[in-house]
Amino acid sequence: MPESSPRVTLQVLRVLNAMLVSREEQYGFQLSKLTGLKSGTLYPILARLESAGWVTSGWEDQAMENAGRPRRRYYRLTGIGSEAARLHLSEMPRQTSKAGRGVAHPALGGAW
Amino acid sequence: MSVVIWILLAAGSAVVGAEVVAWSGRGQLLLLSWSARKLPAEQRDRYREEWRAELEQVPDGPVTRAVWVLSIASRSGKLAKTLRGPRWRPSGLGWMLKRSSDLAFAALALLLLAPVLVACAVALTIECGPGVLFRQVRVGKDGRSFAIYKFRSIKMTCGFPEVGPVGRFMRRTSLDELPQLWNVVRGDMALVGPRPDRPHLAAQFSDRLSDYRERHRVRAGLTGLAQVEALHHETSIKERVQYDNEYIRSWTLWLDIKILAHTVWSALRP
Repeated sequence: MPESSPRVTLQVLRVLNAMLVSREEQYGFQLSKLTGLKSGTLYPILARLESAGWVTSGWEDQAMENAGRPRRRYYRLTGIGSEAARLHLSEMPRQTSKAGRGVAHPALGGAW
Repeated sequence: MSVVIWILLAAGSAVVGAEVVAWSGRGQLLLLSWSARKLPAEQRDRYREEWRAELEQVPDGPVTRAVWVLSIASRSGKLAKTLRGPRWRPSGLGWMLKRSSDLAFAALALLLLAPVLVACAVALTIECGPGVLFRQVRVGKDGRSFAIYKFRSIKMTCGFPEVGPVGRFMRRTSLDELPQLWNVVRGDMALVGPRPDRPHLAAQFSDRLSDYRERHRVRAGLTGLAQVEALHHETSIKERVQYDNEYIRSWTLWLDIKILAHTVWSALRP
């Protein structure tokens, strides 16, 4: 059952931003590269967003497993999640930067 | 002196040990399993499998994997807390220790404070007449009601309630709440927990606030996180409920000690 809205900190915004911009499913390590967050910080945030119903996750298709590696778990924004992400990100002051092409908010870009 | 050195050596080797473990591939998997074991049972397998797959994505540099694993391990307690969700109840050895330490501490405090309690009773008898202890119904753990003990600080003057100087002093210093140590000994209450409300208020609040009932997961307390926070700023009932649930969610014995110290300090401060 979804909980009430999670508290949106700057780190949560980074995750939402990365997921909104990439528009694709991401696995944990990709997300930590995109956001510059450490693995230990990322998973509690993803868990909080999942329990709020903003993010869902699922194992990749069994067919993909022929690569001989363990299956990955992918995360993506839900409908409410994208809406909430857009709302929260639009409240942030927008920076005018040419460098931030493809990144909704350059300030939130990854450090990697 | 030599004891200190041994303790430092032991602590140092534990830290170095964790580092060494994190550097070997097998050690990394071990640390991930250890981190997953802290999580709620139904989530353990998912994260163990997920992290193992993730580890293979991390570049196999001399440090990167060790850093990645140590980061997971160091924040796995935080992840566990997040996954438990709002309805989780504390349990386990630490929580059992809380009940026994509450019992021991309350019994000891009753013994040590006996002269103070007697003095209060005598002063109140002089001010307000006999019958200085009274019981009031409050709502406690699992929504069950119990009788809370208090000193009566109100006297009736010509049929009107009035607070005399002794009563005022006892209220300001919270001395009138001390008989609740007996409620702690009996097991109705804990030293630290959500303050128990009177039934009609509890009914009203649980109608209005969806998470009000969640605070009744644990024993009511003499003092609590919400009371300590209320010392610093004005709090609404909604905020107090949030603090109560936050207390339950992030409970440690150390948190209890801090809250108790804060309470005692604020009561003794002039």
